[in-house]
Amino acid sequence: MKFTMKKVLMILFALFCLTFSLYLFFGYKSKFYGLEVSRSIQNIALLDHEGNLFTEAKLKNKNSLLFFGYTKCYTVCPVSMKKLEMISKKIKSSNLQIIYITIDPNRDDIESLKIYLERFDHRFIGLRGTSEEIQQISKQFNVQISNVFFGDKSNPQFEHSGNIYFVDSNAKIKTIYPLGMQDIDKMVKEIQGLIKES
Amino acid sequence: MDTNDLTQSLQYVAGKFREENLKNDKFIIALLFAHVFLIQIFTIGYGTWLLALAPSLLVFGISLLTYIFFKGRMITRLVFSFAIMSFSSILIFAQLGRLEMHFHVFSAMAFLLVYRDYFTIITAAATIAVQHAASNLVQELGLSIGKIPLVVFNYGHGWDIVFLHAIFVIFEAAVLVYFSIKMKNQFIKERKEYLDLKNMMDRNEQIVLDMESITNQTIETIDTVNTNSNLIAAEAEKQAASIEEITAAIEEITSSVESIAKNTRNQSNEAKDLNNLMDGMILLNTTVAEKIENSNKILRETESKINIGEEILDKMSSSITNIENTYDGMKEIMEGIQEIADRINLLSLNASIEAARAGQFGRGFAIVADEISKLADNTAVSIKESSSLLQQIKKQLTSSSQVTNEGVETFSDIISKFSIVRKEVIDFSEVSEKQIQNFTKMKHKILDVAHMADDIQHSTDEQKLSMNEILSSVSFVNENTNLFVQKSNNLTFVAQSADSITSKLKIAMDTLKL
Repeated sequence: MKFTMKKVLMILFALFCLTFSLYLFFGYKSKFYGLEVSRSIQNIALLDHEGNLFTEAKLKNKNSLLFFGYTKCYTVCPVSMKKLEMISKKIKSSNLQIIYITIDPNRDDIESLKIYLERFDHRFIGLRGTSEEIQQISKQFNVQISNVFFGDKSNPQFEHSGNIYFVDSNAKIKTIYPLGMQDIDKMVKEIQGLIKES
Repeated sequence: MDTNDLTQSLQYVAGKFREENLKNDKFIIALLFAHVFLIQIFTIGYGTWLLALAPSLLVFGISLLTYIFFKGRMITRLVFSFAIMSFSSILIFAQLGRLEMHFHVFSAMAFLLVYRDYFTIITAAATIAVQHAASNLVQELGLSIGKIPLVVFNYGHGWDIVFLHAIFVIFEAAVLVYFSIKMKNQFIKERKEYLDLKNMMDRNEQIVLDMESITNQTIETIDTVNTNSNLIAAEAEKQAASIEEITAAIEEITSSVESIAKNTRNQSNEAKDLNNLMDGMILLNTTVAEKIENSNKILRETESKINIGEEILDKMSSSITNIENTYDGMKEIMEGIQEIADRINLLSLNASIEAARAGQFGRGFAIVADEISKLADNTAVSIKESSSLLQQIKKQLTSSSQVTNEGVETFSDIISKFSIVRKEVIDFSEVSEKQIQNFTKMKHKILDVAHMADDIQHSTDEQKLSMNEILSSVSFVNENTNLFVQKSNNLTFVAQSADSITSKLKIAMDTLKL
């Protein structure tokens, strides 16, 4: 095999890619455990599980952990809810509110939301809106909601993002914790830091 | 097709397939490199740049190394299949499991169709299936490489989703496998056909080259023909002009020849006239000669007559002398007769006296005696007259003798003069003969001249005929030259047509060559 200049350069470039990749995997220290973003949330006008109006004003002056799901979900949601409950228990700060937004307003009425949330933590706020409102808000969070149903006909399921969002007191998404990045200890530690910052 | 051809064909197709794979590898590695950056674009707003970049570089680095060392081989294709599917996974995660990102799987698998190798499709399908399944597992177990979690699925737990996705992937994979096999067969078929076509083209190319060379030669020939026909046309035109000049010259010559013929004819006629004249002269001279001859003859006769005359004169002279001599005897005779007559007269008287005595008886006698007396008297008278005559004769004889002598002398003189005349005549005759000879010679000359004139006339007539023949030949040549000019013009036109045709042929051939 002849090693031309071109080939040598290509090999060096390949090795650089691999090295840089390994550095990113093992050596690079990210500022956050979660995925760092910075996106403002606007125009929220939903009803909470008590029937009160919930606007973005309620997102301000308080840090929030947000999760999108539906009460009949038995795939992603229960695990994430359980994790949120655990986080809620570990972070006692009153400066943190945990919000659950139903993405299935047809099946989840305020009542069922209330019943569902009572199974977890009292700090949990359930929010419900019309399909259009939900669509509008999930778009802001890049939440993917599938309209493909699967599972038992009596309880059809659909896919959706299982991300947990940290929204700071300026109604800005700061970090995202997608599935697989929901290590509770790491999350708690990071969220506590974020709360302190704000 | 024999085994050798088949082997060659298969080797060719395999070679082409390797070439194709090298090209495809190059294309796919470029595609993978592009993914590293494109995926980063998709991370914007999702905070996933690190999670995307780290595995992207890992996958690309491995792919690049494989490409460098194993390009064109099956292993490269398989690694690339794995890599491109990994990018699908990375992309899905870059947007946190956004459903639309799953479309990349199908697109990427479609890209792999360039290899026309169902193994790559199967590998890709297997890769994505394993990744989906594994990630589901990994996600549940919360596994990570270093600090980065292995996250693919963002939503959906449970095997039913994996199977749902898998069904689509398998379905597409099946379709792609079908197409890859079909495309591969098509490729092989195309290449084989191409090979056949190429072989044919090579043969065609040779034919085209041959044709091109022939066309070039034809063009050159046509150019030459064109040039030559133009030259010929020009030359022929010049020739036509020359021919016209020649024709004019020949016409002039013909008219000159005619003039010569006319003059010669005149000359001939004049020579003939002269000849006739000469004939006349010769005839005249001959007549003169004859006359001279006659004259000579006459002269000779005259000479002999003169000689005879001289002799006669001589004889006359002697006769005269003899007569003179006789005169004397005659005088004596006369005198004796006179005496006789006198005695007769006396006797007649005595007879008359006795007849007078015899009376009557005596009368008759008396008359006779008288008559005799008278007779005697007459005789005496006649003698007297004769004597006088004789005297006169003698006188005349004497004068005659004188005259005769003078005549003889004159004759002699005449004879001598006559000789001179005869000599002159003879000389004249000689001169005349010479003249006749000269005239004859002259006549011959004139005849020669006339003959020559005739010959010249014949020659000029022949020359005229020849000239006319030449003229007709020249006009024939002229016609032919004109025809030739026309033909050469036609030839030029044909050559030009041929040139344009060959040019078209050449263009066609160039096109064919391309």
